[in-house]
Amino acid sequence: MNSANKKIIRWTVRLVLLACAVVLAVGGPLPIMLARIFPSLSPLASAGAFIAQQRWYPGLLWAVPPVAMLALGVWKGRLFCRWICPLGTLYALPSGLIARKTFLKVRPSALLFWMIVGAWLVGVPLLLWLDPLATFNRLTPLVRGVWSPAGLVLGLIVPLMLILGAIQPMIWCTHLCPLGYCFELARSLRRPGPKAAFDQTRRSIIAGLLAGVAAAMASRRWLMGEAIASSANLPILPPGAKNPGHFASVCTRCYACVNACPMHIIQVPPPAGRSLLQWFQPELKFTDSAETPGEGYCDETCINCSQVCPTGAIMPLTLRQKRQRLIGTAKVIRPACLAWADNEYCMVCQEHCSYGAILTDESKDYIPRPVVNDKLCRGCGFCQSTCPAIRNGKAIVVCGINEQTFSDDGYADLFEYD
Amino acid sequence: MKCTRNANRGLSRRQFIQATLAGGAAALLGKRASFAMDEIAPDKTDVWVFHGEDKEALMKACLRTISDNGGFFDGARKLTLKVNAAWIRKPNQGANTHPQLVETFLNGCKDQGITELLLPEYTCDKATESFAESGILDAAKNAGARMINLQTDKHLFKDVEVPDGKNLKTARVAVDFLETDVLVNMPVAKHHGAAAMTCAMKNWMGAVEERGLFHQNNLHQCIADSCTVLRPQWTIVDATRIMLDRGPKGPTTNMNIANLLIVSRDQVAADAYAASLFPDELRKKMHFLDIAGEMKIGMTDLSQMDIHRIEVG
Repeated sequence: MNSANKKIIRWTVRLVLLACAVVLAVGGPLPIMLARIFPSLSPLASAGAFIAQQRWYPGLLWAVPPVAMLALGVWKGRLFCRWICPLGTLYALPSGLIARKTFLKVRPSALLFWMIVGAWLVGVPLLLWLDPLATFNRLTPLVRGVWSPAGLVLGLIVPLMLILGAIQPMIWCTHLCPLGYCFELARSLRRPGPKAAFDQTRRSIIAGLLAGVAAAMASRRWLMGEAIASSANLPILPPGAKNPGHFASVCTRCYACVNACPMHIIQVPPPAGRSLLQWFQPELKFTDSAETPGEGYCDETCINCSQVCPTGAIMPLTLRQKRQRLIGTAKVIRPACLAWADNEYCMVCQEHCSYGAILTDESKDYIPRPVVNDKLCRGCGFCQSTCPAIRNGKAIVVCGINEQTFSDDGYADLFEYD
Repeated sequence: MKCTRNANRGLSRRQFIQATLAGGAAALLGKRASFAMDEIAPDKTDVWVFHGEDKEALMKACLRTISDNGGFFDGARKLTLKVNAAWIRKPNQGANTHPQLVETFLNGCKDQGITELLLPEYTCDKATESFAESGILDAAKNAGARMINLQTDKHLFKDVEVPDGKNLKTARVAVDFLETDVLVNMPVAKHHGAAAMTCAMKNWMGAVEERGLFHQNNLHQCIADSCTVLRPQWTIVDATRIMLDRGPKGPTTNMNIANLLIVSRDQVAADAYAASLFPDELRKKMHFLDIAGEMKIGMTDLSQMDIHRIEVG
C-alpha cells in the first residue's frame, strides 16, 4: 500500500470517528449510555477515577475501552493519537496552516503526566480536565445549545490550541498532552528509547511526582475541606455524586451530564464562591422562573447523568436507587410563601412532591401550610421549580448537602421496577 | 342550562339562555326528546352511581345511561375529553383517570357518531412521561383519539373572559375545551393537599395555563369561577380507587377501593357525591363546593339529587 492511499484511509477513519464522537456525545435517538464511550477510552481519566474511588466502579464492560487503548499504546505507541483521538483529528485540521515553527521546545506533557500520577499516589485525582477526550466532549454542549458561559471557559483550550497549532503543528498533541505522553511511555516499555531521552524523562518523573504529591496534599488539606466546610454555599450535585470534594476532583469536566440532562438543570456556574478545585464543575440549578410545569427539577424517573459519567464522579444509579438518593434538602421561606404570608390555599409544593416530603400544618385557621419533612426530602427541586410565589421570589428552595446518601424510608418500595 | 355548544362562549347571559332553549327546542323535534324535556323542566339533579369491579362493564353501563338520557346531541362530531393524566404514576396508584375507563368511553363515543376525539392535558409532571405512565396515551391511541400535550403546544391556550367569576376575571384556557361540540369531564376523585379533594371541578386546572393565578387569589373561589366557563355536557368521575391521603400525586398510604363511577350532567353534583366518599374532616375543607353551591353553579345538596345506584356485573 503506498503512502498516499494510507493517508486517505487514515483521514477517512479519523473523520468518521470524529463524527461518531460528536454524534454519541450529543445523543439523539441512541441509548444515552453510549455518550460514555469516547470519554471512557482514556486510560488516564479511568485510572484517576479508579484511584479516587479505590475500586473499579463501572464493571468489567467499561474496563475494556481504556485497557484496550493502553494495550494499543504498548503495541503501537501513538496509534491512538493518529487514528482515533477526536481532539487530535480536530487539531490536525489547521495544523501548520500559518507556519511550521517550533517555538515551544520543551515538552511539558511528561511533567503534566507525572504530576497527575503524583496526585494519584496521594489518592486525589488532579488535572483530569487536561484529558483530551474530556476536552473534546466539553465542547459538545455547544452543539446541543445547552451551554452556559462558564461552561465554555475550560473549553477555550481548544481554540487556543487550534491557533497555536496553526503556527507550530500539533503543538498540543506532541508537546502538551499527558495522554499522548502516556501512550509514548507505554510504547517505551517494549522499546526503550536512547539514554538522553531517559535522562530527560527522569527529571520529569521526579519533578512531576513531587509537584503532583504536593498539589494533591495541599488540595486535600485545604481545597476539599473548604468545599465541604462552607456549608452556607454547598453545591447541589447530580444524583450519584458522593460529596463536594470528591466530585470536584474526580470530575473531568467532560460535561457529558450537561448534555444528558433532559431538564437542562445540570449547568456550569461561574466560579464565584467556589474553591479552586470546584471551578467549572457541573452543578444542578433548579429553575427560578414563575411557572414552567415539567421543567427545571431533577425528575424522579431519570438517571441519565449517572449513566453517562465516564469517571464515576456521578456513580451509576438504578431507578430505584435514584428514588432513594438524597441530593439536597428543601427549605420553606415563610415570608415569601403564599400560604404562610398571605393565607392562600396553595400547597403546590406538596402537590408536586414526588416523595411525600411536604407535610401540612393546619394548626392555625385550618389553612394548609407547607413544612418540609427532612427525612423524606431528596432535594429534587420539583417544589422550587413549581412554587407559584412571585412577590418575594421562590418560597421554597433547595440547599446542597455535605454528603449524598440513600434514604431508607421505604418510599422507593412503593414502585414497581422492571 | 348545563348544555350548550361551548363555541358559544362570549355571548351574553341572555343570548346564552336563548341559544340553549333554541338548542333544546331543536332537539325536541328530533329523536332525543327526553333530553330537551329534562333541560327545560329539570325537577331534581340526576346522579348515576355505578358500582362494580369490571371497569369496562362500568363504563359500558355509563355509556348506556348517557345515551338513554339525551346522549350528546344530534350532529355532534367533535368531542373534547378532560381526563386527569397529570402525573407520572401507574393506573393502580390512582393519581390519573384509569385508562381502561378512558378507552371504553372513547370507543363508545365513536358508536354515538363522534368522529373527532381530543384529549388535551396540561400536566404537572413531564407531559410525555405522564401520558405514557398513566396508560392514557395507549388508551387514546387504541381508540383513535388524539392526546394534546399543552406543555409543548402552548399556542393552543387563549384568553377568555370569566364574566361570572369573582376572583378569576380572565383565564387562559386551551382552545379545544372551548371550541368543541361536546365537552366531557372525566376526572379521578382523590385527596388534594390544598383543596382537600380534587375531582371534577378542580380538574379544569389542567385546562388552564396560568395556574399560579388560582393559588394567588383564593384557590377555592378560583376553582368555582373556572367552572362558570368550563361546563361539560357530562361529567364521569372515576372513583374506582380513591387516594385518601398524600394526594394528588401519591403514592398514597390509604387507598379506598370504592369501585364506583359517578355520572351526572352537573359537575358540581358529581363532586358533591364524590365528596361524600371522603372522611368528614376532609369534606369540611372542600370550600370550593360550598362556594359553587352559593354561586348556583350546580347542586351540592345530596338530598336534592336523584341518585340512581346501579350495580354492574
